[in-house]
Amino acid sequence: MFDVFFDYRGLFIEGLLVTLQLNAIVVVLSVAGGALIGVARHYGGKIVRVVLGIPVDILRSIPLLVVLIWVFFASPMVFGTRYIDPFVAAVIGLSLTQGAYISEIVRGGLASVRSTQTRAGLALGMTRTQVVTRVVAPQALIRMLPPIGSQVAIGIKDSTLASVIAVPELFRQSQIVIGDSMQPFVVLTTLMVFYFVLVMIVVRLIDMLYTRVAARGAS
Amino acid sequence: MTDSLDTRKMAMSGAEPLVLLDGISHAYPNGKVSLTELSFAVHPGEVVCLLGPSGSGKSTAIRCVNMLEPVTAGRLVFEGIDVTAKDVNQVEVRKRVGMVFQNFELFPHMSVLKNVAIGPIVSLKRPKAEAYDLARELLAKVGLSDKGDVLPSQLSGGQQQRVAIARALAMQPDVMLFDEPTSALDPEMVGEVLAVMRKLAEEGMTMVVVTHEMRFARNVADWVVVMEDGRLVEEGTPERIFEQPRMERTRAFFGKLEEQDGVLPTG
Ligand SMILES: Nc1ncnc2c1ncn2[C@@H]1O[C@H](COP(=O)(O)OP(=O)(O)OP(=O)(O)O)[C@@H](O)[C@H]1O
Ligand SMILES: [Mg+2]
Repeated sequence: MFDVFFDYRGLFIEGLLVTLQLNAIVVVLSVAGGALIGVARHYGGKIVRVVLGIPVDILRSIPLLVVLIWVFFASPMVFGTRYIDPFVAAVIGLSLTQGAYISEIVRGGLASVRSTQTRAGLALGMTRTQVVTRVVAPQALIRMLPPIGSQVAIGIKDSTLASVIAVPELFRQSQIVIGDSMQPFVVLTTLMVFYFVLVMIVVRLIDMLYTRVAARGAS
Repeated sequence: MTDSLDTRKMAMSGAEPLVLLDGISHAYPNGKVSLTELSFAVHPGEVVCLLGPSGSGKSTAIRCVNMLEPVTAGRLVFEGIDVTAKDVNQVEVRKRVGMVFQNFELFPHMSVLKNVAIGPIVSLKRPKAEAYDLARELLAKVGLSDKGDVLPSQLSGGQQQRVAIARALAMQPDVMLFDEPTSALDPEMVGEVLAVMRKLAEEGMTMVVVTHEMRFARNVADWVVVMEDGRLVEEGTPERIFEQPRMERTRAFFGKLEEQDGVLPTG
């Protein structure tokens, strides 16, 4: 019954590698970008907050499927090229959307550290920057861990949508195999188990990290 | 004023005030006026208690002293320098002023020892070993030498507030500000914090204390300032203020306190 995986191993291995690569890149870009935007919106004053809020709100309200298709089919026209690599398009679309959500988590985390903590840092003769790096950010980071973990899990699951722009990731490769082998049950069920395990590993790792530092976020 | 009750020892010695609020006014960004032409002086070695009903501007006044709130008018003179001048580095002033908050405001992500050492390490760029040695010394002073390794959340309120006092002392400030340091504490823990403050006062620390602990004000303060509605109502020695309040509003304030918990100290 599981012969199908051996017979089509080339496709599956490529799919697995593409899925892992895609998600690794998206996690790094979306967390870094989200952190930058979130910090800028929290500390940047009213104009920065409003201006950067526009793309964040747009990205949070457009379906990811539409974003991916737009980046793949429409954005090349904007930039005057004829073609964009599907993998690159998927990285851009997923990172933008994930980054938008993560920027909101970062902003909320920073805002959740009460202002009297900033006062306490300033009263100790710290500069504003020192207060942010030594007092506010560490506490915010602890509180952000669980929601960022959830968002990364959503991103991993949503990466399957990249199949619609022909990124050879695991779901897309599985569909090809199913079309050829007529074995949807075993392939799709295995695929579900795979995503379950991958997401659980990521979520549990972040949970474990959080449990270790949670006491330090208490106030 | 020839009243013998009204002599201010430190002022009499001719010393310059360490802190002078000279007609300062303050308003919050929402337009709420919180201080109107408030003036009082704090001399070196003095304990000045700020009393007054809720909302009278005591916290705002104390925050103005270490420039956590910007004054809109008047002068704030610190160690002879007008620090309301534009070119004054607020951070440098705050390094000389310790502050203790009503809700402790310890840093929850740091051990107790690190909480005490962090000011010298970050603000004064002291070597870590030196800062930790001082922190251990100060924890011993507030009676918590065995608690250095725990997180603040594992301490009682009274213990947290004593750590907060040690944290402020670690900067070796010239003056310590206390904003209702015992108001968030269970009654049985008030004593341990007041005892530490009393010890500091005896050692000659200059202190400005906002408090509702009338017994502390009566026994420890050298000077009492009564505020209401952002203004100074009257000021004087605790003996004079408690025994012969001149202003009706002071009497009304004391009367309310007495009604609440019957703790107006006499004699
Ligand atoms: N952040 C703020 N924004 C606007 N108004 C404020 C703010 N903080 C305090 N106020 C107002 O300023 C006035 C003085 O407040 P302040 O906290 O200094 O009083 P307080 O004497 O310390 O009172 P309490 O005994 O309740 O601590 C009050 O009317 C208060 O409502
Ligand atoms: Mg207050």
